[in-house]
Amino acid sequence: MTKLYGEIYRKQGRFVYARVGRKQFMRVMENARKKTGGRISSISGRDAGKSMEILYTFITGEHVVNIKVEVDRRKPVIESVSKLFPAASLYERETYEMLGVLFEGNEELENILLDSKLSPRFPLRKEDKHGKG
Amino acid sequence: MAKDNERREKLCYTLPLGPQHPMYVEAENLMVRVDGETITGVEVNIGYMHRGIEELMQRKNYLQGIFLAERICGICSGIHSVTYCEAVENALGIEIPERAKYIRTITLELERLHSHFLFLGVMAYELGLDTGFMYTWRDREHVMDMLETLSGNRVNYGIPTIGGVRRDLPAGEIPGMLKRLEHLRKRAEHYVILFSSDALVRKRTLGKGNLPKGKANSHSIVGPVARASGVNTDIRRDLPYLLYDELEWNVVTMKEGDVQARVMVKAYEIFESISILKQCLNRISRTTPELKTKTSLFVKENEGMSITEAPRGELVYYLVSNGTDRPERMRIRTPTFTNVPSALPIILKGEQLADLPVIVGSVDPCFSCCDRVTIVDERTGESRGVDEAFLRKLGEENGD
Repeated sequence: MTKLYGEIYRKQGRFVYARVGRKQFMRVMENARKKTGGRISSISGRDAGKSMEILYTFITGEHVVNIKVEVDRRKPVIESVSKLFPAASLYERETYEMLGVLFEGNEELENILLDSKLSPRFPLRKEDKHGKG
Repeated sequence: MAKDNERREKLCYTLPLGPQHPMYVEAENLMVRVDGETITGVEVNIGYMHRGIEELMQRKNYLQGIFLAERICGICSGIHSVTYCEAVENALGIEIPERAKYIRTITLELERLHSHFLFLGVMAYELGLDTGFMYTWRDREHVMDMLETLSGNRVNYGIPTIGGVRRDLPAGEIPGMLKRLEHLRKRAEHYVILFSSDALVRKRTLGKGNLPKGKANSHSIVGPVARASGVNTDIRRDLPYLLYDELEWNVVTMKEGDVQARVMVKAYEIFESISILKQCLNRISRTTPELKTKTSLFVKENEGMSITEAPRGELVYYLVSNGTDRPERMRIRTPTFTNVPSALPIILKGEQLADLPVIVGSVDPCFSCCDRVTIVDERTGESRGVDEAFLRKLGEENGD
């Protein structure tokens, strides 16, 4: 499993958490596509202070595989996986509008839940203090 | 030929449906491209009910977060709070007592029952069978009564808490609940016959709104909508949580992928939920009375995830904790967020405009609910509902 999904750093029951570097990212995603047939459960973004963390969640057989990749906070750009997983486009759009992570190759990258007039304000970034008193 | 196409394209037009539209209980917008009566393309615009709950959750402590999660949806409120609690429990690394598992399972299956009866009623209404709508919603009242018996509430149950549940199920209530479940099973048999053999229902649902298995898979469609297209997926079986791996039940799938299949999958799932509930109610007396595992509500730096099967499909909660009593990040991925923007453009293309409400209804879209208006007169303090006669009068006055 380590070979397939990168470095596994946590296992809890059926949940597996792996970390992958930018260079290996697309290879790991292609492996995930082969395992899942193109089904993706979720993409979760987080402002981790020093970097932006993006977690890709897949269900493969009896396991939930979570693959985490970190991107530079000052230039948060990563390859889009929407060609491998069509449903990923939705989650990438949500991560973009909440955290400002750019997914290269996703042609639909625009707001989905928030008013487009809000862009480029990303409410889940730590520096966004609006209404947080 | 090119000129003909150009002329035809000029005759096509885009019809905006919503955000406020009589077809929906909630707000969403469909930009429907039509050529005469035939739908040639659909753009789905969501976000009208966005309330920033993920952000708000970061400012609430773990106990307050349960109640916030519960208010994400008025129909599947129980599954949201249970999934939230499970994510926190996974980050804490604790197990909940056996009895709490039973009570959580009972709550969730009762919720699935009421959601499925509600769906059948909404489908009957969309098909023009108002009597069917009244019947199913009358039967749904039995489920609401059972939820009230269990939790004291009809909608937001307040049952789960971190480490277990907040209320016990009184043993004296079990025989009455079993009797009601048997009554509901008989009623569900009637609805299976109604929805599978009524000439009008068949005419309007068979072969309509097709979602092929390949598309359902590639677009990660979840829950009963995917199962109606032959995708054999159910989180309760694939990644069992609570008691689902100890109970006997079946995953319902159909291969047709049309509106009829989506209705029938939910109708048959009613029997499975009733069977799960009966097994739980018969076995709960064997458990010890503990309801809750004691735990600290300060969660050390960790991650926790929970995936469950909500009435509408796979629900994902992902927690990153930071050592305080508040989450660093709580990510929520609801089933409708996956199903509606992905499935609607596929299943509506090529269909007739008049079939649109039935096809949209068959996906069972669930944005947050706001379905009633009450006008309060500031001066007198009197309140009144808005009925059809009032709206008609308002329309006539403005029409002059």
